[in-house]
Amino acid sequence: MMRQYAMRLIAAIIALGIILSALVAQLQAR
Amino acid sequence: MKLSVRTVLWLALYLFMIFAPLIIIFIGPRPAGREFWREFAVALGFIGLSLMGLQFIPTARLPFLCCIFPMDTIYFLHHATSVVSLGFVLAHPLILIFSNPYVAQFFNPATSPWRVLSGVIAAALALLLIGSSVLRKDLKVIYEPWRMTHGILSVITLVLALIHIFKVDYYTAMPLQRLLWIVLPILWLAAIVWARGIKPALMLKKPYELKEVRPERNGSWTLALAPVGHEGLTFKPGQFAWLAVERSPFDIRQHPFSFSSSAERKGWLEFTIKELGDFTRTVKEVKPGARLYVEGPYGTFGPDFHEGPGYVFLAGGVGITPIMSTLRTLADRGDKRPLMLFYGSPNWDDVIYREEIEELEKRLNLKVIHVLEHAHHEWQGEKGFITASVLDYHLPEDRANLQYFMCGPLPMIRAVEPALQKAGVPMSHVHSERYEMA
Repeated sequence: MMRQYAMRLIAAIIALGIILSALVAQLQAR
Repeated sequence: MKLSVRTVLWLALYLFMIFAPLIIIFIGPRPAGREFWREFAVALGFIGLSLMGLQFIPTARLPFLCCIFPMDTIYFLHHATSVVSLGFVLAHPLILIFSNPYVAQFFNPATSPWRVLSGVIAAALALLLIGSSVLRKDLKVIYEPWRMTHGILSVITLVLALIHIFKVDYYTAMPLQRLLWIVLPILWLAAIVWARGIKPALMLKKPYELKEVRPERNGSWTLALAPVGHEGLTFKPGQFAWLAVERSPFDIRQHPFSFSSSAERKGWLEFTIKELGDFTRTVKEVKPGARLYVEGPYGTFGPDFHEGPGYVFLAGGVGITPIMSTLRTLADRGDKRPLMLFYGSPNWDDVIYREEIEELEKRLNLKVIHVLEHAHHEWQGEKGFITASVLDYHLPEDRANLQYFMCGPLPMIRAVEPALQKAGVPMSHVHSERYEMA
């Protein structure tokens, strides 16, 4: 059961990692 | 199963720590002349490094984390996030090259400046680290030397990645940025200092002496330990510990085993170990009087972590040990709740603790269903494996309200989990710990 939560956590890390990086890059780039 | 507030808070802190380096980017004036893809690549690299740095924490066996998350989940996360971190780390140079092919010339080791070379070597080492871990069993690499190299390579990779960041000196220009790039790695490496320095030093003051080695059925042996000069650790039934047998606690060669004794019995610990591998085959040769160190307890397996009106235990072979600890503890506590034990063994002579389980049936409100893989002709009980039909036949009507604890070989767990589901048991009530750490 905990493994399902762990899988979701990993999916969240990947998604957040890409989204936040893109957001940061958008704000910093000019 | 609902996540507790404590669990959610730890997960939130973990996520914050992963993305903390992104905050560093925003400190100080916004740099000019950098395009989106370059900034994107840098941010991905920072996250990759942060994820790698945080890898030191799950494997340090921190007591406060081990009481919240099952140990096998912690190790699963360690393995999975390592691969994810490698993805982020490798995306960093790849995006830089694709967005500006001119960058590729910096990857020539002969002419490359040290600021780039340190990053390239760090990425290559990260690839080697994670590749060698994923393929370790296929490549038949021996565990102990691999583990030693793994730890040393991890630190070298981390240091090289930090050299890369400081040498590039783009997001380290401000004093606060530099400070954060020093504080974050200190936090990551503190886990190693705890695991390899402080914890073994504390264990050194709390040795145990081997009191007896008892033969059990099916090639298993029980080691009984008593603390020397201290009260001994306390544990909850179903938990496990790492044992250093006739070795220093600083030695990495330690092995995880479930407690098999009653948690109510103070100053006396028992572990039942089956002869399966290189180390377990030598257990029977250890002589009483030998010095041992016990690191633990760990794990969240057992009724003390999952309250219920009654419990069903499912054991396969030597997987009975944490369940035996639970049954002995519940008997010592005078627990009257209804209990069931589905116990799979190769044959009647190999049923570990057979006689004591018969005794426990008298002391507890316990019903035992033995399932024998190779039953003799006169055997009247269940034959084969613990299947959905066996479960459905024996489980009571109120099965959905009970809590289920399963321990056994991986194929058994993989087969019994769906069988329980088929028999009408909610999966949120099924708890199993797989002791596949490495």
